[in-house]
Amino acid sequence: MKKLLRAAAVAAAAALALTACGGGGAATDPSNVSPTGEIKPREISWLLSRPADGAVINIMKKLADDYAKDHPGFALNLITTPDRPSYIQKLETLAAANKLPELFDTDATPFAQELAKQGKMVEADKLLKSLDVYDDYRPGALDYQRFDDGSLYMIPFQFELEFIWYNKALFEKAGVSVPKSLDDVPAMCTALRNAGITPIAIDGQDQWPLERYVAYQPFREAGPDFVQKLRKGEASFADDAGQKTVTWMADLGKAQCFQEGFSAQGYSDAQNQFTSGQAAMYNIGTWELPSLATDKLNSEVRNDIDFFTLPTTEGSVTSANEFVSPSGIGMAVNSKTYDPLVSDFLKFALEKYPAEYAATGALSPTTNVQTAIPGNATPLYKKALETANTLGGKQAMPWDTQLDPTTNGRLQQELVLLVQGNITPEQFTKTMDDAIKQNAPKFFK
Amino acid sequence: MITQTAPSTPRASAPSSPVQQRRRRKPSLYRTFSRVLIMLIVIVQVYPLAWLFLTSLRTEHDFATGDPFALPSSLTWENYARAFETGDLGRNILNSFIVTMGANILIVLFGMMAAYAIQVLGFRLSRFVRALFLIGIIVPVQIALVPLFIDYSAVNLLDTYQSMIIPLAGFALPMSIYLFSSFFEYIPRETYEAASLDGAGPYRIFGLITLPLSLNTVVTVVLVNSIFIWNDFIFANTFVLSEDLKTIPLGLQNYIGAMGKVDWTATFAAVCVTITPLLLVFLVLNKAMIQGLESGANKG
Repeated sequence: MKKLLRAAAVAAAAALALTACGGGGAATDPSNVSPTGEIKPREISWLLSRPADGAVINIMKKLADDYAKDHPGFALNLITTPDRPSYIQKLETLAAANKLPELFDTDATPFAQELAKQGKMVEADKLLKSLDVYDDYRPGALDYQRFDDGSLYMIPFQFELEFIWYNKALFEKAGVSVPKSLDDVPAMCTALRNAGITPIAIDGQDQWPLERYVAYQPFREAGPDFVQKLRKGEASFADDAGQKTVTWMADLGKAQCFQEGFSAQGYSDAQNQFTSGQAAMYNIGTWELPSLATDKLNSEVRNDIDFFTLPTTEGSVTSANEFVSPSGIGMAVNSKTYDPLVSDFLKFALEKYPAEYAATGALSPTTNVQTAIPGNATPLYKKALETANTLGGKQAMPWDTQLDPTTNGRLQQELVLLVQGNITPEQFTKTMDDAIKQNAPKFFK
Repeated sequence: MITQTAPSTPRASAPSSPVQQRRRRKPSLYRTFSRVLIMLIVIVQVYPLAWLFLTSLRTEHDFATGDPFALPSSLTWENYARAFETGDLGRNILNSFIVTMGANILIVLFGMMAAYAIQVLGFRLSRFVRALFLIGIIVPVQIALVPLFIDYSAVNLLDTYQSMIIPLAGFALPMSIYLFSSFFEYIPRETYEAASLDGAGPYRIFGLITLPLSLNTVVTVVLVNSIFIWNDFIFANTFVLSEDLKTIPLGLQNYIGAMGKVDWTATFAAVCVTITPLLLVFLVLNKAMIQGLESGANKG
C-alpha cells in the first residue's frame, strides 16, 4: 500500500510538471497585421474543410511549393476534413485545447465570432488592406464572410452564384414560363404536375437545399436583416415575413413541387433527375457549371437548359440582381501564431491565387482576373459568369450559417414535415418560434 | 454483417455410451428445412457484400440514373482506378492495420493480466477493482476528447499511432477484462493446485496454463474489439492531423466533394478494397475460434 501511494504521488507530480509546460502562448494583438522581424521559414498548417482534390487545395499546394523554393524550410501542411460535421468537431476540439494551427477554415458562425471576440483571429480587413489586395475583392464575397456587426475575420477563396436552372422544353410542354414572382411558383408546379413532369428536383438528404427555399420570401419581403433578427428572437415566424414564407413553403408542398420521396434523395439523385430531363427545375450554384454548362451535360437536354435568378415579389425590398451568392467557407488566420513568415506567405499566396483559380474556370472572389471559360463550355457558362458583374449590394444569406446549431437542426427537420404536409403552418410556426426562444438566448449572449 | 460468437466454455463432455454409434437417418423433410434456413441466413449475410461489390463495378452514370439495386448494365474497373487516385488507400489500410494490431495487443495483454489478478490470484478489494473497471463501460468516449487532446499536445503524442491506440485500448479494456474474468471462472481450481504442488509460480501458471487454455477467449476479444477499432472515426478524426496517418474511415472522406456531393461508385470501390483484409482476418479467426471451442481443460 505504501509503495502504491508513493507511486501515485510521483505520477501526480509528473502530471503537474507536464501541464505546467503546456501553458498557452503569449497573448497577441489581433489588429497587428504587419509584424516586424526576420522571416524564419518553418512548417505551417492549414486546417480546412474542402474537397481533397478540389481547385483550392491543388492551387495552394502549388503556391506553397513555389514559395518554398525561395524559402527553404517552409512547408504548408494542408489538413482537410471534407465532411463538415466532422470538421466542426475537430475545429472545436482544437480550439478548446488552444491548439489551433496557423490557418483554419470556418463559416461566419457564432462559434467563430466567439473566437474573434477572444482575440484568436487576425482582423482580416486590416490584413487584406496591409497586403494591398483588399480592393480587389468583390464586396459580396467579403460581405458573406462578415459577422453581423460588419467585422471581417475570414478570407474567401471562392465566389459562387445560385440560380434556378430550368428545362425550356418541359416548361413549354406544360405551358408555363419563367416565374415573374416567387408567388407564381406553386401554380407553376401544379401546371407541371398536370403535364406529368416533376417540377423541382431537390437534394433532400443534405437538408441545406430545402433550407435555401425558406430564406427566399423573407429576403424579398424584409431584406437580409430578417434572419439576423429572427435568430436572436427579435423577429419571429409569426411576423408577416415569417408567415409569408411558412405559407409559401406549405403551398410548395401542396402543389407537389418536389419529387416524390425527396427527403431521402441525395445530391447526385437530384442532379440526375434534372439532367436526364425528368424534372423541370433545379436550384444550384455555379460550382456545378462544369456539369451543367459544358458538353458533359447529357446531350438530350443540352439545348433545352437555361437558368433564371431568384424571382422577386410584389413590393420586395431587394432587387432581382440580389440573391444567394456565397463565397464558401472562409479562412481565418490564427493571431497567436501570426508572424513575419505567415504574413509574407499570405502576401505571396493571395496575390497569385486569383489568377490560378480563375484559370480553372471558376469565379474568383476578386475582380482583378478574368475567369477562363473551358473549351467544352456551352454559351450558358459565359452567361452565368457575366451575372456576377451586375450583382446588387445585398445578398441572401443561407440560413444554416446564421441560426444557432440546435434551432438549425430543428428547422431542417420541421421544413421537411411542413412540405410533406405532416404538420400545419400553425404547428410549424409555434414549434420554430419556441425553438428559437429556447436556444437563441444561450447562444447569442 | 459479421456474426459474433459468445465466449465459449469448455464443457466436460458427458460420458457418452460408447460402442453404440447409432446412425439414425433423420427425416429428410427436417434436413431440407434446415438447409433452406441456412441458405436464407447466408443470403441475408452475403447480399450486402455482393451489392457493394457489384455497385463498385458500375459506371457513375449508370448508378446515378438507374435503380441503385439494379444489376450493372456494363462492368468497369474505372471506379477502382479513381478510388486509388483520389485517396491514399494502401496507406490508409496499413494505418488501420497498425492501429488495430497495436490496440489488440495492449487489450489482450493488459486485459488478461488484470483479469488473472482479479479472478485467479485474488487480493483484498479485488471485487472493488473489478467493479471499477466495469464502471468504465458506461463512460462515453466523447468526454475524453478534449482532455486527451490537451495532454497529448503536452507530451508530444498528437498525430502519432499511439494517440489512437492508447484510448482505443483503454476504452476496450473494461469489456475485455469482463470477458476474460468470466472465462477464468471456468478453469478448475484443481488445475492450479496441481501446478502449484509441482512448484510453478503465478507467472509460470499464467504462461503455461491460463494462456493456452484461454486462446479461444483471446480470439473472441480480438474479434469483438477489431470491429470497433477498425471502424473508429472519432479518435482518429480528433488526434490525427497529417495525411500520412489517416486510417480508413478518414480516408473515405476524401470522396466527399463540394457541398456534400459524394462520388459514390469510387467510395464503394474503396470500401470493397478496405473490407477485404478485415474479411480475410475474420475468416481465419473464425476457424481458430471453432478449434478453440473444441478443446477443453479437464477431461471427465
